[in-house]
Amino acid sequence: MLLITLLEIPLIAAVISAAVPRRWRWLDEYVAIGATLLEAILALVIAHRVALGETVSATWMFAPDALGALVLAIAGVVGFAAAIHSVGHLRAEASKGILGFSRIREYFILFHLFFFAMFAAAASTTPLLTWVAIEATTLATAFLITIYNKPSALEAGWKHLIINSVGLLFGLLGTLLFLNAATVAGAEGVRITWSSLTELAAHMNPLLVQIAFVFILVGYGTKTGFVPLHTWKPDAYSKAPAPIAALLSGVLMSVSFAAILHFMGITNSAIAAAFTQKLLIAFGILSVLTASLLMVRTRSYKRLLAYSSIEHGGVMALGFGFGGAGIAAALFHMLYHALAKPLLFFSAGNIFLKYSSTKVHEVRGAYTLLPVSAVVFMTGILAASGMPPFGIFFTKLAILGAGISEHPYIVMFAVIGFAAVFAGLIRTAAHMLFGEPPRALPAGESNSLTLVSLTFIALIFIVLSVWVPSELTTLVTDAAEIVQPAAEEVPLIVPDLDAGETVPLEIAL
Amino acid sequence: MISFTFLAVSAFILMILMNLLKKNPSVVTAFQIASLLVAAALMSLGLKEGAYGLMVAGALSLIVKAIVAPTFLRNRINRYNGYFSASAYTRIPLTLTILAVLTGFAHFIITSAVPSADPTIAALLLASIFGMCFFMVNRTGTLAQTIGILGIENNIVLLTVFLGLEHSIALEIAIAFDILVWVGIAATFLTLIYRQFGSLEGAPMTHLRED
Repeated sequence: MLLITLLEIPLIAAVISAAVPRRWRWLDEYVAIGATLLEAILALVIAHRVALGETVSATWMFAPDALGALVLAIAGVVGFAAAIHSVGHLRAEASKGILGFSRIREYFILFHLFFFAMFAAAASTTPLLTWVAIEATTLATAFLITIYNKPSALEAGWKHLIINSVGLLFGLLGTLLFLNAATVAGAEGVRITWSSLTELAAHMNPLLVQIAFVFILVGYGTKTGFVPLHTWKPDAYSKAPAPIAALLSGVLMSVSFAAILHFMGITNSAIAAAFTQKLLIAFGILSVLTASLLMVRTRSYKRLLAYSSIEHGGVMALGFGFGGAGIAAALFHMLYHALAKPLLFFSAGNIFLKYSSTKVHEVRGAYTLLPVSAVVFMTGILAASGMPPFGIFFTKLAILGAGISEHPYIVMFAVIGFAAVFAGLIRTAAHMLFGEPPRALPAGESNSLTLVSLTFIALIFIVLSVWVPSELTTLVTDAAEIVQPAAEEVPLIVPDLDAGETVPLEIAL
Repeated sequence: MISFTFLAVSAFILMILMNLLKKNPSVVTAFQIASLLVAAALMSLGLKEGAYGLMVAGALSLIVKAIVAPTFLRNRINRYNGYFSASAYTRIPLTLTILAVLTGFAHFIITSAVPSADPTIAALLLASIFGMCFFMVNRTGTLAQTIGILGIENNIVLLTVFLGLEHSIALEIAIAFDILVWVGIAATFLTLIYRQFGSLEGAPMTHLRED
């Protein structure tokens, strides 16, 4: 019942949004916030129940495991914040004459359909349904990226549609090869689920599994944004409205990563984990280094955030590639990144509303004109660059620690990349936030609702950075076991505020 | 029942033809023939095995890819003067060489790892998939990119059928619906692109720069 309701709400919200007449345009906003609030509550309840070991299902096609439940929770919480921010952001753009009622209505319809697709992908029990749902996210976001109807936005939307469609077709091919391997290994009927694939993995043709996983990694890796499959990302993120860019970066990346991780777990059950680990390490370090180089020379702050997303995707890939404690650390990194990116994109959206430019050199003195957004932007910059006491610092440290003994050179290059990332982010933020602002611009935030979303996400991010609920730890532990089905107790270092020091947190992987 | 040998060889030849043809209407026609073959394969196999899901998939494939998609594409060609596609980035000899390499690579993958009753058929189908990817990369027009994606999907479906994979009817309908929505969105994009840039070619699309 819970899961069915979670899937129904965005569909109902989309229908209502489509039917809203111009004179009731406020209804779109209330429906968006109300629907996403309900979705967030349901997603958290489902995640809680899954963490307690319960099965939450809706027909045989939807029953999230720990990994799916974690992604559902991320999508629910970030989605609620994005809905609030969307309302504020779009109100400001409507007042400037940038977007009219029909475009705003189109935005909210696609927004809800986007969430339906993401929830379906996260909760799906079958690889094929996951593919259909992730393909649906591509379709839903194509027009969201082009919502401003400018030539560059249209190009970005087309590029996003084509590159992701081709990538997902390779993902489909990989999925079908996995299903073929399962059929040959003895799977019967049409209901081949993640769990049945895992059970049959040991009997699958190892070479076929390897080839299938490569197609999966290329396919879903395109969606995740691994280098060299990332070319659509900077354009899409820089042209999409700020709330959509935040969702693409924080939530959709988690959804597509979850698909990769499911297949990784199956592959690791079929053959030695070294195969998948090497591939992920290769994509990871390439993404980190490429993104760090691009971040140093970029002139657009929205592109900077896109490159940061690519870098964090690389960090997660490194964590999953290193294995051991790196897996749990990478899952926590996924969570923290999903919270940090909205901080950055939302505040960047407020900066854009004030300065009407995404060029770094045209933004000066944001701290004077937009003190709240500027502080949050700086907080997000520090978090994304891996500064303590934010959670990303600990997860990066744990990931590097997981890899230092067996991959010292990879870790060394990663650290160099992180240093370049830090330099790029801080330099850009310092230029934008300090200095003399343009005299023609009035001081003051554009919209109070955008501050509500910023505050909401910032609070959650900061609280989770210093306190991790036990259910969340359980969920991450169970999710880690899906990725690498082996029992091994390894310590993950987290801060213990009561003791006033860091202590090892024992996690069984 | 249409033989898989005929299907695989036809799909492979159509893939090569699409890579060599210069005019968009001809490419759309080749794609339509390929889609008809896919639909016929699905329906005849469904009839032979009494598999209702396959027959449904075949019917949906016929409607979406053999009728709706080509209609959309021809409509865009006629409306936006997309009769001629720009020349491909590579000339014919190099195109054929690359296709040969891709075919060899597909054969290597199949013979190494994919168990099937006839490796040659599977290799031809996999080579058709790679060939359509190359088609997308090698052509300058947005129409070619659209046809390329649909062509890749056709060949994946054929490979799936040949490998004997079954899906539930619900999933077949979901995949077909997905493709239908994709066709609609792509057609809308082509309209927007023409209105914005005055052409369906990729050359005018140069607004994405470091800004």
